[in-house]
Amino acid sequence: MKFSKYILVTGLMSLTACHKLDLNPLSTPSTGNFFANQAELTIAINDLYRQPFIGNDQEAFSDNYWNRATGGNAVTYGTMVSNDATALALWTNCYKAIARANVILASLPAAAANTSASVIASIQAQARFSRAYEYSLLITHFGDVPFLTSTVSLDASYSITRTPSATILTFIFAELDYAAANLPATYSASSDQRWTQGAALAIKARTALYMGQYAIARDASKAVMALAAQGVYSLYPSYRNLFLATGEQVNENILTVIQDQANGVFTTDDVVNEISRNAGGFGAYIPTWDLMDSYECTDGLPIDKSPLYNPQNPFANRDPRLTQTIVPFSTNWLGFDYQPHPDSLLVMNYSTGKLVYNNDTRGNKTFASYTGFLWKKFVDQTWATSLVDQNDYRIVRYAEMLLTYAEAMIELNTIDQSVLDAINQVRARAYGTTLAQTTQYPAITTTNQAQLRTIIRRERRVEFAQEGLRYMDLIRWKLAEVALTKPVVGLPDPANQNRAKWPFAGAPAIDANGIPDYTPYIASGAAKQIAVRTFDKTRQYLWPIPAIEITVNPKLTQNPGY
Amino acid sequence: MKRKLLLIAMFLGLQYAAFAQTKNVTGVVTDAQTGTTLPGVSITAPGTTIGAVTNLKGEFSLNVPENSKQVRIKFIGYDEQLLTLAGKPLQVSLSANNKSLNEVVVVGYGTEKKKDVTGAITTINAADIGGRRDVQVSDALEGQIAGVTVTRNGGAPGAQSTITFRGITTIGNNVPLIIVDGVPSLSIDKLNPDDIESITALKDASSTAIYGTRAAAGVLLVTTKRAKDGVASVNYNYEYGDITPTSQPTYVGVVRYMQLFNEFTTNDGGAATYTPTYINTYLQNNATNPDLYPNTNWQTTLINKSAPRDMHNLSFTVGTDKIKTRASLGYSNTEGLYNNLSYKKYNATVNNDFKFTDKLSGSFDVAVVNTVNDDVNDAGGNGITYESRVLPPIYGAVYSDGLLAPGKGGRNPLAQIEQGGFNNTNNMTLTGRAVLNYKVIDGLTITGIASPTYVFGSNTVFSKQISFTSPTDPSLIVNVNQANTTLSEDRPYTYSFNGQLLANYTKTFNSVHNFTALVGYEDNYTYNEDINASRGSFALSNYPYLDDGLLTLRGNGGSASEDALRSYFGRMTYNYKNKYYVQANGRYDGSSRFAAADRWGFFPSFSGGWTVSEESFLKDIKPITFLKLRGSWGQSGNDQIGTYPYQANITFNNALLYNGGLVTAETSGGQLAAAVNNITWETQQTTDLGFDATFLNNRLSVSGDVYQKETKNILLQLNVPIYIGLNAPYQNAGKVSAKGWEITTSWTDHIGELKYSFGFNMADALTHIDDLKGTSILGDQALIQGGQYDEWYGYKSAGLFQTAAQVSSSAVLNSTTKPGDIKYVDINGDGKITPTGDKVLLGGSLPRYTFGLNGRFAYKSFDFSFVAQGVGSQLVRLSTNTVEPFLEAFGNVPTLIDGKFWSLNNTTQQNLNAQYPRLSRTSDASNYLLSDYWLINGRYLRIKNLTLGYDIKSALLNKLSMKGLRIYIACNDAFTFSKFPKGSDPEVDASSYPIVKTFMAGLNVKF
Repeated sequence: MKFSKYILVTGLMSLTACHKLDLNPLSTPSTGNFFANQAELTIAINDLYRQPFIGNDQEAFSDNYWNRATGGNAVTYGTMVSNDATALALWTNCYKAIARANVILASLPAAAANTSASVIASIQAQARFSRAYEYSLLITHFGDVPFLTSTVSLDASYSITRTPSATILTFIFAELDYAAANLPATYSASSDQRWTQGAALAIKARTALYMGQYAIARDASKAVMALAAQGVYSLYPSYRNLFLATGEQVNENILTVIQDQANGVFTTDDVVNEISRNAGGFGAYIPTWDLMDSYECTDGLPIDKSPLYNPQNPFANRDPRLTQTIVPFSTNWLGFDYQPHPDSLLVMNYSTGKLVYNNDTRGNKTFASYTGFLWKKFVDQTWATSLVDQNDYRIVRYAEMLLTYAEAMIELNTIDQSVLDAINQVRARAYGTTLAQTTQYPAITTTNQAQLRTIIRRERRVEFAQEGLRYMDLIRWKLAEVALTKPVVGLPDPANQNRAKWPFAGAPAIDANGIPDYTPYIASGAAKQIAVRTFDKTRQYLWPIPAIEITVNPKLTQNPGY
Repeated sequence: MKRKLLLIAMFLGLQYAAFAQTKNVTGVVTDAQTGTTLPGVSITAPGTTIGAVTNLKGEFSLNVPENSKQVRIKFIGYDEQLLTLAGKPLQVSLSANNKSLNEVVVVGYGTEKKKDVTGAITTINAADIGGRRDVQVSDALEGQIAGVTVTRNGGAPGAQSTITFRGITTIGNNVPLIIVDGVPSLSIDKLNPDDIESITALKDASSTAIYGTRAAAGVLLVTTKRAKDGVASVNYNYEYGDITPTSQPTYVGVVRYMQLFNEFTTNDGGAATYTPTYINTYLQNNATNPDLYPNTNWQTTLINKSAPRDMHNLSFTVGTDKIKTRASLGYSNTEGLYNNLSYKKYNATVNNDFKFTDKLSGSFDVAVVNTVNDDVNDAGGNGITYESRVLPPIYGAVYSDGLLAPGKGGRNPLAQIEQGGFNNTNNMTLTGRAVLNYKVIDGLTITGIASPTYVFGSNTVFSKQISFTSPTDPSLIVNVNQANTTLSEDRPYTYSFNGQLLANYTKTFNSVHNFTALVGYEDNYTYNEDINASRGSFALSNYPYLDDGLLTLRGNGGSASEDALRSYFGRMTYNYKNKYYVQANGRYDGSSRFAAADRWGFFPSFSGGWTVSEESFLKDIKPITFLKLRGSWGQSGNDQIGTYPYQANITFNNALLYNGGLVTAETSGGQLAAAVNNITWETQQTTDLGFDATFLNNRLSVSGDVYQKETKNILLQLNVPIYIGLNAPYQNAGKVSAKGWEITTSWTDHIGELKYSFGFNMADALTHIDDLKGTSILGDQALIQGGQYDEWYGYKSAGLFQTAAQVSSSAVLNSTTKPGDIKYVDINGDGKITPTGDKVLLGGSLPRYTFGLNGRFAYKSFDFSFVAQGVGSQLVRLSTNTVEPFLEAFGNVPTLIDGKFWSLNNTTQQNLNAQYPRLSRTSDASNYLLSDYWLINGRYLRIKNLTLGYDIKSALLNKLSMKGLRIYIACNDAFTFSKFPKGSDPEVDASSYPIVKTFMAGLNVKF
C-alpha cells in the first residue's frame, strides 16, 4: 500500500512538467552580442541604405505638382502644425539612422580585433557619411536640432537641447570630408556598389548650397567635376531614358536608392494616380501650368518673350525636356492617343486601331486631368500593365553638381567661362548634342549675375522637375512666399472653354524669379482656379519641431509660429 | 445498450400508466415559519407528467396512478419535499430554503460555499449564458455582472467583445484571465455557450491573488457542464435566426451630392466642378444612359437586408457511480450582411469523470473547437461597411448589361465581394485535460492536472485582380483593381501547457473551528511559431495555391517565441461557527518575461467576513434572512507586455545594392527599440468592502461592494525623445488608481401560478492616472497625470466663426481658417491655436454607471424573460464617419448634415443656427480634430434579449418517449434608446460593421 501511494504521488508530480524560465528570443539576436565582427557590422551598415533613411522632398510640396485627390497638403495649404505627421516622419527616420550609425561607430574598436583595418575604415566612412546626410536633412528642414554624435543613455537624453545649425553644419562638412577621403571613387563591378567618394562630395555640395555656403558648394561640386574628368561621372545622353529602367545604373547617378519588385521594394500609389485614365489610371497627380510654362522655347527665351511660342500648340518649339517630362497632346501614350480637348470624345486605341471613348477629356470625365497635363518623366510603358513603380529613387545625379557649381559661382559673383560651360553642358544634353555644338541648342552666353540667377533657377526647375528638389529650392531662394501663394490653375470647364483658344489663351507674364502670373486669365475665364496655395512666410521656412518631442523634453524650443 | 434499455423501460412505464387505475390525492401547503397557506405550489407524481398546483387557499387535488407511492412538492424559494402517500389528505409545511447560500461556487483552485465567501465574486449560471442565445460567450456577459464591462467590437459574424473588470487596471493589457475548468484558456469565445454550467467573476484582489501575476485585470472562471450521477439523457437544440442591422446612416442623393461637391470645391478656392446643366440633366441622362451617368445606392447594393444564422447543439449525458460522461457537439453558422462573409463554429467536447477506488478518482476531458471565418478580400483594407458608406452615387457598380463597372476607378466593393478573392481564417484549438485526485487521508486530497493546448491557425488571402471594361466598349479594359493576383498563406501555431499539483485539506475541530488549507505548484509554458509564404502574379485566378504563382514574386517568413511562468501558491481559511471568517492567500510567481534578478514576485491577500445574521441579536429580526459583511485586501500582478521586453533585439530587413549590374538583396539589421533591463512586475492592489444580504425569506437579495484599487509600476512604453533613434522601451513607470462601487439586487416571488423574478445590477468606476513619471501619452484619448484614464484630449470650441472679422481678430490654428470653421479657444492666450498650448482634458471617455436589468416570468407552460443593459453616462465622440462630408476628398455626404452646415448660401440667421462647419477639405484637418464640439452624451438603454418559450407538457411527449419539448422565440438587441443621431448605434461608429438585431425561433428536444 505504501508503495502504491508512492507511485501515485510520483505520477501526480510527473503530470506537471517543469519549464525553464531563462528564455531568450528564438528568431532574433539581441544587441548585447551583436556588431562584433565583419558580417554583423555589414548587416548593420546595410540598414542605412534603406529607403526610409534616404530621400528627397515630395514634389507635391512645390508649385510643379498638384494632387487632384487632396487638392494640397500641409505645406501648400500652409496648415502644417507642430504635430504634423510628415515632419514627424522625417524627424524620426533621420534620428533612427543617426542612432544606428552611432552604435556602429561605437562598436568599431571592439570589432577591430577580428576585422581587417580596411573593412573597419570602410564601415566607419559609410556610417559617418550616413550620419552627416541625416543631419543635413534635419538642419535644412528644422534649423537647430538636437545634436548627438555618440550613443546616449536614456537618462542623459532628457537634458539635450537644440544645437545651432551652424555648429552642426561645420560637423557635417568635416564628416563628409572624412567620408570622401575614405570611400572609393568607384567599386569593382563584381562587388556591392556602395556609397562613394562622389556621393559624399555631392551631399556636401548640396548641403552647402542649401545653407548658402557658396564657396564650399563650389569646391565640393568642383571636386565631383574632377571625378567626372577622370571618367567616374558623365551626363547620360538620353534625358528621357535617364529616368527609366535603362538609366538606373548609368554613371550620371551619384546617389540612388534601389527599388525592385522581385525583392519586394516598390510603390504602387503613384502609378495609378499618374497614368492616364484611358490606361486605367486616375490622372490625379499632375504637372501644373506653372511648370509647363517654365520651359523655354528653342530660342532660349521664356514663352512670354519668345516669338516661337504658340499658345494653341504649346508643345511646339520648346525645350526638348518639356515633352520628356509632360505628355504632349495627340501622342501615343500608354497605348492611346492622349488628347484632353473637350470635344475629343473619342480617341485612338493603338492596340486595336479603333476609336474608343476618351476618358482623358473633361468633356467625358469630370475628373480627367484638371490642368490637362500628365507626367511623362519616370513613367514608362510598363506601368499601364504592371501597375508597379520600381524606378530607383534618383537622389543626386551629376547634372545637379554642374548646376550647383554654376549657381555657387554666380552667387559668389565669380562668373567665368566654367560657369557657362557647366550650365551649357546640361542644356546641350537636353538637346541631344554636345557643349561645343552651340548652334544646336540655345547656349547661355550672358555673364550678368542677375540674368544668370534667373537662368540657373529656371534651369534647375526644368532639369529636376519631379525629382523632389524644387521644394528646397523655393525655400532657400525665399521664393516659397511668392510661388506658394499663387493659386493652382487649370483648364476651364468644357462648357466655358473657348475652342479657338485651346488650350491656352496666351502666355502668362513670367517674372525674374520664373513665377508666371495667371491673374488676367483667371479673370477672363481662360483659366480656372482649381485650388489655393497658402504659405506663411513668418514660420513655414522651417518645419515645426514635433510637438511630442517638446512634451517629452521641455528643454527643446519650438520654431517661431508653431 | 444502456440507452436502449432506458427507452424500453420508459416505454413499459408508459404502457402501464396509460392503462392503470388512478387514485386521488389532496392536501394543503403552508409556510413552515409563518403558518400561512401557499398558493402556486406545484405537486407532481414522480416518474409521470401528472401534476397540479395549489389554489389561493393552498389546497391541491390530483389523480395519480394507483401504484404511486410518493408526490414531489416544489415551490420557488422553499426546500423541495418528497412525501410518501399515506392515504389521507397531506398536510405539507414547506420551509424557506437557504439553497442560494448553500450553493457551492467555484473559486481559484477549488470551491467554497457561497455563504462562506469573503471576496467579491459573482456567479452566473447556464440560463444566463446559453439563455442569451449569443454565438459568442463574451457577448452573453454584457450587462450580467456588476463591475464587468463588455465592449462590443461591431456585430460582424465572429466578432469578439472586449471584457474589462472594474474600470481599468493598467495602461496596457486589460484582458482578464480566463480559466476553463481550472486551466488557463486563450479566449472565452472558443466555448459553446450551451456547454457552460456557470461563470464566476473574481473581482477583488483577495479572490484573484491566488492567480498571482496574471490576475490583475480580473479572472473569469468558467465551469463546463458535466454529467451527474443517475442521469441519462439526449438533448438536442435547433435554432434559426434572422439578422438585421439595428441602424444605418443615410447619405444624400446623386444630384445633391454634386451640388454640395461644387460648394466644397468653391469654398476651397477652386471653381465649381460640375456645371449646372450637368447636374440638372443628370437624372434624365441616368434614365437613358445609366452606364455613363450612374446613380448607385452603394449601401443597398452591398449590404443585404438580412442574413441567416442557425445553430445545432446535441449532447449525450450518462452518469453512473463509476463513470460519468457528457459529450456534446455544437455547430453555429452566422452569415454576414454582405455576401461571402460568414462565421462557423464547431465544438466537440467530451468530459469524463472516473471513480477508480474510494481514494482515487480522475477526469479526462477533450475539447476541439474549429472556427472558420470566411470573408471577402477587401483590396483597400477599409472594410466593406466603410466602402458602402463612403462611395458616392456617381460611381457605377454594375453596367446595364450586367458586367461589373469600375466603381471609383477600379475601386468597386461589389466587385471585391463577388470576384475579389477571399480572406479565410481557420482556427483549430485542441485542448486536453487529465486530472487525478488521490485522497491520502480523510480531508486531504492531492490533485495533479496536466493540460496541453494546441492551436493550429491558418489564414489564406487570395487577392484577385479584377478587370473593368469601358461602359462603351465591353472589349476594352479601362481599370483594374490591383496590379496582379496574389496569394498569401499564414500558418501560426501555438502550443501551451499547464501543469498543476495541488493539495487540499479540510478539517473541522470541535465542530466549531472550520479549517481548510491549499498548497499548490503550477507551471505554464507557451510556444508560438509562425510560417508564412506568398506569391504574386497568378496567371489564372481560380487556383489559389502557391505553386500557381510566379516564382520571382514569392515571399516567405517565419518566427518563433516562447514564455514560461512558474508559480507556488497557497490558501488558508478559517471560520468559527460559520460566523467569523478569515482567509489568507499568497502566490510566488517567476516569469520568463523579466531578467533573472527581477523575475520573482510575491502576491499576498487577506480577507475576513462576519455573518451578522448568525448573531443572536439579529436572529429574531424576521425580515433579515442572511447578512454578511466582508472586507479584503490583496495584490496581484501583470506581466503581459510581449515575450522579451527586457532584451534589446535586432530586427532584420533587406537592403538592395547593385552588384555586377544586378540587384542583390543584402541582409540588414538594426535595433528598433531601446530596452530597460531591470523592469519587473506591475502590482495591483485592491481594498474591497462589501456585504451580502437576503431578506424576506430569500425573496430579496442584495449585495454590494465599494473598492479602491491601485496599480503601481505599470509597464509603459513611456515616450522617450525620438532623437535617441529608438522606439520607446518598457519601463516600470505608471500608477493608476480606480475607485468604484457595485450593487446587485434580485427579487424572486410568485403571484398565484405566476412565478417571477427581477434582477438589477449597476456599477461605476473612475480610473485616474496618478503618475506617469512626468510624461504623458497624448492622443485624442490621452493619459495625463491627474486626468482620467483615456480622457478626451483636444480643443475647447466656441461655436462656428460667422464673419471674416471674427476670424481675423481670433487665434486660429492656421491661415486657412474662414467663416464657417470651428472656433477654438486660445487657452494659453498666446494668440495662436497650437497642439502643445491649447489642448485640454475634456472629460472621461469610459462608460460610467453601467447597468443590467433582467426579468423572468413563468406561468404554467409559458415562460418569458428579458435582459436589458445600458450605460448611464459616457462622453462619446461623433466619429468623423458620422459627420464629415467628402472623406478622402470624394466621399459621400451624410444626410445628417445636409441643410444644417454653415454655408455662404445661407442667411446670416441660418448660419447662426448651423450645427456643422462649412464644406471644405482645406480646413477639414482643423474642423474634425478632437474638440468638445463633437462630444455628446452617449448614454443608452438597450433591450438585449427577449425570449418567449412554451414547454409542451402533454401525453404526446410520452408517446414520443420524450422527456421534454420546448419551443421558443427570441430577439437580441431588440430596441435601443439613446440620444445618438439617427442612423448611429451607441456601440459602434459609422464605419464599422453594424450592431445587429437577431430574431430567433428554436426547438429543444430532450430524450
